[in-house]
Amino acid sequence: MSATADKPTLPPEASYAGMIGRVADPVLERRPGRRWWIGFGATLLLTLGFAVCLAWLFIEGVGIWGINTPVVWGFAIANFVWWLGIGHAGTLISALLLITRQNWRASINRFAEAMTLFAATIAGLFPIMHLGRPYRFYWLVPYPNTMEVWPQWRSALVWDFAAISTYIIFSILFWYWGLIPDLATMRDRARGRIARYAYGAFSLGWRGSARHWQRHDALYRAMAGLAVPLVVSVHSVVGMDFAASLMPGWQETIFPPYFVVGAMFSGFAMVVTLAVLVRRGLGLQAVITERHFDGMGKIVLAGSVAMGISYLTEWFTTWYGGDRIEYEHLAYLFTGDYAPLYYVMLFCNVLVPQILWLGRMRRNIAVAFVVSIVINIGMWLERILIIWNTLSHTHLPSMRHVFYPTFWDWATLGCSIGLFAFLFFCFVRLVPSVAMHDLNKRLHQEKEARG
Amino acid sequence: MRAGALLLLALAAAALAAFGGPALLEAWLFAFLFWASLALGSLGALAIGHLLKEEWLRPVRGPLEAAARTMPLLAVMAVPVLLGLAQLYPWAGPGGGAVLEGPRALWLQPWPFRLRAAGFLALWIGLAWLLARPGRPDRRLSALVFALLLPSVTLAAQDWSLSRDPAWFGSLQGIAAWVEGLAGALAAATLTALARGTPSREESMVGLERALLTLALAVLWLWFTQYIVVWMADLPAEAGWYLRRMRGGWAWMGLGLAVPALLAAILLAAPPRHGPWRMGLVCALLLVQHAAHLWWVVRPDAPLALPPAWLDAAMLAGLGAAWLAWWREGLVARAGA
Repeated sequence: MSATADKPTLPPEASYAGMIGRVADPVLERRPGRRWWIGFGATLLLTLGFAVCLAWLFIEGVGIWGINTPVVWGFAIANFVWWLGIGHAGTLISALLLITRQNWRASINRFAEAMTLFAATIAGLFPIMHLGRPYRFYWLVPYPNTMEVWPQWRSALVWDFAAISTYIIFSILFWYWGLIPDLATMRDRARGRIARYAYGAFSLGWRGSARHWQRHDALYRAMAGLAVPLVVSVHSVVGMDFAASLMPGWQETIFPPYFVVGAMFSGFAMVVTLAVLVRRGLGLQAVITERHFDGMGKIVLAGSVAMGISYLTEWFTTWYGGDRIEYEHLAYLFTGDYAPLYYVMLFCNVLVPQILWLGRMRRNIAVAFVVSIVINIGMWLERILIIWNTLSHTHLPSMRHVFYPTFWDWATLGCSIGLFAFLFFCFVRLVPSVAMHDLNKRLHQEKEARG
Repeated sequence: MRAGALLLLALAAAALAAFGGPALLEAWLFAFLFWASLALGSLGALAIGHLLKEEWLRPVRGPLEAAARTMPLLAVMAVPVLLGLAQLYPWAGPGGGAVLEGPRALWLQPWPFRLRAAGFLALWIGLAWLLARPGRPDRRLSALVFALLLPSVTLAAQDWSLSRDPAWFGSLQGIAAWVEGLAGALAAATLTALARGTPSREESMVGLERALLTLALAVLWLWFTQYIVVWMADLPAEAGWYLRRMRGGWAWMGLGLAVPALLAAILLAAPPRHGPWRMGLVCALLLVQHAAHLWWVVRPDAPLALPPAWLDAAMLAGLGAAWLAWWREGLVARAGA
């Protein structure tokens, strides 16, 4: 990881003005191309589809999904955990790389943080959608009410609400604070009056004075320091949603850290996916280089090894514990109704990423893209299988049944991906996708190192 | 000096194995686990530092390498434990098999236990020999060491320390124990660097501050996470593990010493720009926390006898003297290399 920090990641001929131009011009100077319009239109349709899914759900109720006792969590909660995992990674990656002085983060942190915002927001919708009475979601908030109905503070689900809302607010602030100097740059480069006013208003009067920079950097680092424990605690709470439930396969003390590692793993995979698309779509080959993919590949590989060790720990703990119910659950993983999916998940999360041990594979962008997609699929399967395997194989044998997703399950998942992509299409046309000021700091360091 | 320490330790180990009672063995076990955790933590810190090419490794690399290379001494320290299993582990004592069910009855058998211990020690001696040496670090090797250490230390912690309560296997326990050892090892190495006045760049010291704080937070997070999951689930075996430790003097050791020491270390480490005294205090608190917490984890499950406090302290110092002699010679040899 740090080797990437030491080695130059930007081209030797790169200049400050050139770097800013490469990032700012696609937003300010270039009109969106045909490919962008097609993508924008398609994802807009999917976003409208998501609205239809929501509307139908609110009219008909959760019965439109495949959930039924005992598999009461189904797609919605798996999607929630999957999206939240992706959503946790952006801020965690950005803050962690900042704290560990991985300056190559400059090329990826902006869109990784944007990914966090979009993914965490979408994730937050799923538990609300999953409530039988979604219009009463605010009951989770401990507001003083005349009914004297108070949340159950011993429930991790209530902690979820507080943790996720705090996290989303914090992520918005962290993202926006890092964006301010770049918004000022956009204000100064914009030719249209509307753009100048808009960027000017959001850049809060930034002038780039030494005092501004000193305060900006001090607060940004302090926020990064706060972000890491916040992110870790939030996904730990998600792990506790399961660990506290006494269901076979869930009641594991390792679940909170396992969920945090899984979030980092899936989130970094999504960052790689987006990095490939942003790089190609905006022509940022000089800004996001093969060296960046090399660094990200190493972290993805470390995540894969950690996931493999977590799976081994789960199997060993179950075997060692000797609890009959847990043992049956483990046997169900390997031989039950969902066993083929379980093997596909292991293939995606543990086996395929091992190719990243080879440096030339990490630097091969096509390989990085394919591996990242495979991991995204694998991590979604992992989330859904945590739910299906445990709930389908419940304590009462007569209740056991296989979950079959309905059209609305798939439509809600697919359209939520569409909504995510739609927000991303808007993002790349409205704000710089790469942190220009951080990029120039990195360029300055590399020029000094070259002498 | 190194040979002398080894010889003395071997004699003490042989005497203890032949004539020692349960109280002496208990004290030996705690001292062995403490020094082993520092050696294993040092090896882990080296692997992480090399892997990430961390700047903080520079001032503490020497002490960490010397600590990691004490692994052969650990093999000697382990002998009385492996020969005295019946007095240390309820499942190995007379009628011990009755407390075990299912696969645990297969796993927790004296000879498989000893063979596993021998395998772990051989693996760690090899890894330390490969990694803890001067020169340019091999990052692939560091990755391999880390990947092998994590499962092996987890299993060893389960065997040596946590199997004394065979009713519960916490899947997080071993990892948390190792991370705590990492924090302790880095704290000890930092104290050494501070005491020796090792010249260090500011960047290295800032890195050390952050590494210590990160590890202290990780220790707090992992143990707290385990506690909260157990508290929410409230199942007999795991709740019983905590309940035993919440009574009488055990609670004082945990809640009165280990937890406050850890919280104080975090509070002191949080504001940036440590001076040498503050950093030294943070390290000392982390070491106190590690020793107190390890004692709190290990001792309440003693099956036969509880040694008096002075015996624990004397054994810790005695084994520590041998370990430190071995460590110091390694440090001097490294400096001369």
